[in-house]
Amino acid sequence: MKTVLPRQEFQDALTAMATLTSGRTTKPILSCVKLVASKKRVELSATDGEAALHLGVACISTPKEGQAVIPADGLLSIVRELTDAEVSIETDGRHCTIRGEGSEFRIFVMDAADFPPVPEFDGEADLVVDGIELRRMISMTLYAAARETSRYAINGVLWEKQGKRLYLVATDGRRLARAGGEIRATGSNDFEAIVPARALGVFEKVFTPVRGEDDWHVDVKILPNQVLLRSGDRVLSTVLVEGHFPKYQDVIPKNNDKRASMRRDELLAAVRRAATVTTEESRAIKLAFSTKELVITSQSAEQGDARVQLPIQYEGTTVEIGFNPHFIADCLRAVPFDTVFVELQESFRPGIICGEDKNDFLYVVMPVSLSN
Amino acid sequence: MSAERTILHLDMDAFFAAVEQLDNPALRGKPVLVGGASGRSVVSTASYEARPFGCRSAMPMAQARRLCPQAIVAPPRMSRYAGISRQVFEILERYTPLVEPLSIDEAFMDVTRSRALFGDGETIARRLKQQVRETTGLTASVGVAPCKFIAKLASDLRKPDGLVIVAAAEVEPFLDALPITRMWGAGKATLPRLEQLGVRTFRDLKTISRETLDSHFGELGGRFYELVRGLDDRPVVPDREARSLSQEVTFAEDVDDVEVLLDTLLEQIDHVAARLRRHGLAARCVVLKVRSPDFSTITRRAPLSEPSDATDELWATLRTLFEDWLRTRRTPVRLIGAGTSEIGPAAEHQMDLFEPDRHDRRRRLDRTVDQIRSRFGEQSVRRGRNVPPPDQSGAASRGGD
Repeated sequence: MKTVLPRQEFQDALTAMATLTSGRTTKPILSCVKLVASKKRVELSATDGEAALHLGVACISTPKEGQAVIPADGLLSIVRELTDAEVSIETDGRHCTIRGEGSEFRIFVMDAADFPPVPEFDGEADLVVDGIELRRMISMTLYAAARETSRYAINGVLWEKQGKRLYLVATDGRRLARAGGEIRATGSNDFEAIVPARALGVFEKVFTPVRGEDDWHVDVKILPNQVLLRSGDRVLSTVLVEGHFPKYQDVIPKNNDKRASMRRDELLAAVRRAATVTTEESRAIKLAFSTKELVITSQSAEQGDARVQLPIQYEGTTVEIGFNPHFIADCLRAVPFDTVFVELQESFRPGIICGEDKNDFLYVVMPVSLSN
Repeated sequence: MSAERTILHLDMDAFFAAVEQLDNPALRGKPVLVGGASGRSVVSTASYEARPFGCRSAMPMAQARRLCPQAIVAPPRMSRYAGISRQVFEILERYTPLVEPLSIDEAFMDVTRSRALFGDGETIARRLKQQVRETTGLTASVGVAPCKFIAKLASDLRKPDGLVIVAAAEVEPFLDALPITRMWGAGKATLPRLEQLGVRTFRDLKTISRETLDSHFGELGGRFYELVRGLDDRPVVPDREARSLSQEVTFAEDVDDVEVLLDTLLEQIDHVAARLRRHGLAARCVVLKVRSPDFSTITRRAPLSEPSDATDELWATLRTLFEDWLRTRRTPVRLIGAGTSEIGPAAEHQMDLFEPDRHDRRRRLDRTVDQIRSRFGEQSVRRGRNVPPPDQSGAASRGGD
């Protein structure tokens, strides 16, 4: 195989691949990227065994078609250090030679036959979603997914298709975020699928709006145990999380009649300020809602105490509730609204944070009981 | 030899109940029981006014209320207690950095090197008591002795508002006179065996040879031998790791059987969790310790997502640690131990979205077990490794009367 590529585009493609190859793995082949060179394009693939990424780079020329499996870290660091406009990749047997102007590198390659097959996006999409909308929904939910837990299948984000709407739901058992958006086109039945959080992190990094294309969209294909996402010539596939997502509808409060509204940036700043004196042992902040005013307090044995006030729109009876400040700040950082609504019932019941329309975004957060 | 040590043990008097009486004058001079009001709750603390009626901490609330129907039941307010505890510890730390908290209301201090600055043990103890009273409005009992074991015995002798000083020369007569029930480690299982050996007092215990004690009680026997002679060189450990609780056992013969190891660990963590609950504490970290026949020792720890005092939460994490270790082990086990660290007051609890009462259910089960044990002895209820989780076993609904 011998091919000549535009260096910057190739570097961008390898950087995207590194989101999958840089993780710890016991199989050396999974830290490699596979190159398939044809006359006009070079196709790159990488996989971590669970998710796989595939994308193409238009090449300048391909004197000799073929394929190669090259350690991704080594290749990227070489390509990153070159300053030329073009880079040439040539393989012979066990080596790969990378040439820029005035420099030449040889690194070992692995046998292309050992590289695991990477799923391809065959046939029609089951859904077509606006790219910006999908990115918005992922960023408004992903932070709430469980990182490591044995409870339920919550190490992923639930994708739930209901007619013309798609909902993404994530929870770690203590708070839950749900974002909803319109589907542009769909031919498939309603479905539920749990997409691993890690793959969605890769999506956030790699699937950015295509330059010069104001109509950016993402094709979605759902298979029994896999989901594939395609934008232009980028394809991200991942196995789905097995098991059942908890019945989240049951924990969305219906009777939170105490409704306050306030500026999002002010609430976020107040929560962060009050959280400065919290510690590992004493992590909760206390929110006291009264007419026109919210007072946030916290105290810890080591650090002392804090009291922060901010104006709110609220007419109901006074209510006090404890929360983990990180759970509140995570949500406020992720949403774009100027004004947020906090809906409560009582100190031992879950609270809601939302914008104007709960169908677009809804956050349910369980309180911290302050004395038990 | 370095100069003899001066160790203080300070223990707040009926702490939770005293705080309730402090905050609510209507409770002063009256019997107060701190604890949940429901039939299944146990008494966290009984005020001194309630004690003549037979009310004690760890007793089922229902039983305490039968003994003393006029008692006022106050629900615990852990964050308030933690605030006062902070004030108390601030006072202790004025005298020495060597303060080892045992629980929210109890600590050891090593004031050996503070004597030049603040006066002898007795002087420091009097000033401590006075400052605690002036700052918090509460009384504490203090024991002063050359070692931790005797200081703790001393602080307990004249409660409330007690001060007992045991100078080095008085150690022997002080100890000899004590009943064996005061011995560290002499619980419901050990006491009858000591009595079979004719031991009723510390003086009796001193007549038993080390070999006999070793053969009857293993490692504990060696401990008895030393403590009864006032030999206790355990240092006062002020760092965060001191706020840990653990249990370990050295097997008479090295153990290879995984089932035996699991049973041992469960019993240990159950015991540790009960101690956490008794002191109103929760741990953030679980610790496994394993020693091989060649004395190489590994310690593994795993954090909990939420601080916990629940036996089955601690056990689940400990079991995972053990199973991870099991994959790498090559030899039988000489010693195994279970513990918790990063302990603090169980003042706040993050509620669960899908099982909001999971924590309460676990607490109820644990409290039920605790109260059965407090009535019928440590061995009256034992955890099985294969019992279903508490929400299915129905065990929590039994034994609550």
